[in-house]
Amino acid sequence: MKKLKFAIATLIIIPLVIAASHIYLRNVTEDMVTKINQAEQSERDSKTYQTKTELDGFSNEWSKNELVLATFIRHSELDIANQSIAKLKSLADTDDVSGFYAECETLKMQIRHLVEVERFSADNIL
Amino acid sequence: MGISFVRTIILYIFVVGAMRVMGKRQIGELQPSELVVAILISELAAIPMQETGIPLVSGIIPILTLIACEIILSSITLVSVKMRQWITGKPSILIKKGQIDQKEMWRLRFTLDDLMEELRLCGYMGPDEVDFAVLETNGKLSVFPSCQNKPVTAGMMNLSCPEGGMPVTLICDGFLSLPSLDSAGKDMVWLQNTLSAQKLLPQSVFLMTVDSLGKVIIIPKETLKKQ
Repeated sequence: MKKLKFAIATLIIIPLVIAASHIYLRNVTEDMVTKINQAEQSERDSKTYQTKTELDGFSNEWSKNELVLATFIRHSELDIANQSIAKLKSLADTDDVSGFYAECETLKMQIRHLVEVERFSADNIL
Repeated sequence: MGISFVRTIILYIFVVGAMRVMGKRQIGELQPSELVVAILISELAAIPMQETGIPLVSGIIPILTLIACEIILSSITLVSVKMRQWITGKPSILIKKGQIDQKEMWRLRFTLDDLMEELRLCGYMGPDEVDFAVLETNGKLSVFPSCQNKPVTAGMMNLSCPEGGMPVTLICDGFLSLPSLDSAGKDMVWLQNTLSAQKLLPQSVFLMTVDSLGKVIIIPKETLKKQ
């Protein structure tokens, strides 16, 4: 009976943990994409210093979130995003505007992809 | 490398705990569903052990889910006979009154070689020596010999023999088990008296058992010399 209770509790807790991780992931990625959009907009408005400040803020927040994300997201997926962030900073430093916009789109796509791979959908399950 | 090492230790502890939670049957004779779980758990643990890029949780969650499903399934089979028969199957009689049930063997894809091998393992030369042979749900063959091939028992000879009690291990490799001493209905005074009669201390005893009839077996430790 004790083991049965443990089993039922486990089958209740696991979906709750998964749901919590999905909510966390969705919130984090939405926040991160918003921050990239802000940096992109600052660059379009030629506010170079603000762009760099926003990118630094984004990078710091990403580092904090990455620790949690690494517990349930494949590390290779996070590595791709890390590479893109490093590239984005470098493009901002060298004032390569067209490269910066392109990399912003790549990073946003990669961050949205983190949600996509974890989403309960037929193509992910099958 | 270091990460793999730590992950391996974590998963090892986790899987040992998992098998412990699932119970003794997983370690001994497996039912079909238990075999599936045992194989899956070993695979699930091996992948995050080697692949450090995969989160540890992605190995732990499936293992926990499997354990939970297995416990629930075994609880259901405990309550429902129909479910038990559906999940674990029914025992099949392969030999009935010395006659092999060929139809049943064909259905179970159990070859004659398999049957003869199992009979030999049980100490019988052929089906004519066997009254019944039942293939159990865990894949083992239970063999019941015919009357003339049954070993003679004390009951058949009308002999009276003392009831043997289950021996309890009191001291194992010099370590005294107080719960075992209690369960045997003995106390420390009895233990000290028994051991001092043989000029022994608990730590110098390799094995000490006592059964319900009070029969004590004491094997002293041998002093191993360095070679």
